[in-house]
Amino acid sequence: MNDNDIMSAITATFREIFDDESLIISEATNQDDIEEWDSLAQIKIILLLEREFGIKFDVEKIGTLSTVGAIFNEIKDINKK
Amino acid sequence: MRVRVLKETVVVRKADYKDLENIQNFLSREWPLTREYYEYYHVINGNLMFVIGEGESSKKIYGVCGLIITNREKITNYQLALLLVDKNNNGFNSISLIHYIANKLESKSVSACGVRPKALIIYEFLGYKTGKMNHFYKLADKEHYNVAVINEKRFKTSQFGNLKLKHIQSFEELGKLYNFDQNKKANPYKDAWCIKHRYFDSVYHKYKVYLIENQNGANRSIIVMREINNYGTTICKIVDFIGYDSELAGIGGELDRLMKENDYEFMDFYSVGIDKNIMEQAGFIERTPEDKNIIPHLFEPFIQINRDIYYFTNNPKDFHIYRGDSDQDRPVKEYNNN
Repeated sequence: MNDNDIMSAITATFREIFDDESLIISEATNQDDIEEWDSLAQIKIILLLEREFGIKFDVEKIGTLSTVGAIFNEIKDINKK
Repeated sequence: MRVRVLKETVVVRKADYKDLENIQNFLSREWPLTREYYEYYHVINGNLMFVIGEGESSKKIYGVCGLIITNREKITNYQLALLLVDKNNNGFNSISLIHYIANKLESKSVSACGVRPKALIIYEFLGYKTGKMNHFYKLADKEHYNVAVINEKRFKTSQFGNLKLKHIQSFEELGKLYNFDQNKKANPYKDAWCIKHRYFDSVYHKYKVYLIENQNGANRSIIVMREINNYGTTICKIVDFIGYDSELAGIGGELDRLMKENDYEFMDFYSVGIDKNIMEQAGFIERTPEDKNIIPHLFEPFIQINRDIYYFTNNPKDFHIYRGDSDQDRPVKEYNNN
């Protein structure tokens, strides 16, 4: 899976969670940019991405994944292991 | 697009007593509680039982979670209450607090009742058990009900055992008749201090504490109730049970006697961990989603709807939780509107 595939999957996840098919995100998008992106939404994002990629995020890192870029990099790191 | 540059590290730690005013202010927008409330529920021996997330440089509070303990053992059982987190971009959220409590504070269990349904996903994500508390009730046979809405009169015959209920008037009397250590293996374990603090020294409610005396004359279980007198009627809420579940099955007749003597409109019991068959033997009916009756839970203010209460625990083995746990029996009218 290349970087574009990962970013596409993250975008699809965000659109589903925030129920907005027109939502455009980049690596710089953070929790301030999306009002509904709170801790509950964060868990939903993580659970969907875990299912999508067949991976498991480290619980202690969940809070630090507050930008799309951080999520993107974490998925890449997990996939490397 | 606005990219936030300034961020700070949020330090999660146990609160100090001097943090109380800041915590009270932080929580006031959601729960405007009085200082007295915090002193009663969350200050033990001068220690403030809260965990907070605080900005390392700004000292701003980003989130807090209250702890309620059920015993004063070194490794205790925690029940959570008043969890609130501000949305922020510092990598701190409610999971940071719960994870700290479950992993950094040594405990036998962490649990809560009164969890918001939409927040259950957080606990499930952390691998904890979640669910809805069972709600049982026992109706008086009346022509008119003031508090409950009864569209279908439902009764279950109690199994008359030879167990007796003894009304205990003081903690000293309880101490003479009951060995608190016998329930040390309970999850959570409620020690003498907890029972005294919650049910004899409450500054908010008057509780009725009963010992269950079994056929051998042994006192192995305690049941705690709270009467609510309002709207021209009296109802009785069972708020706690400490002891041997099976003994509940044999007190149906005694509970029926109390209902008659005190003219209760109904008696109800929110619980997790008590087998439904035991409750049926005691003459209780389970309120299911299909139930046509309304057995109100909230009285301050009074809201005439059925209310489901959700819980979580990180230690589900032999786990029990009741309305008297966490802060579910808190005095809502004590909210400070200032």
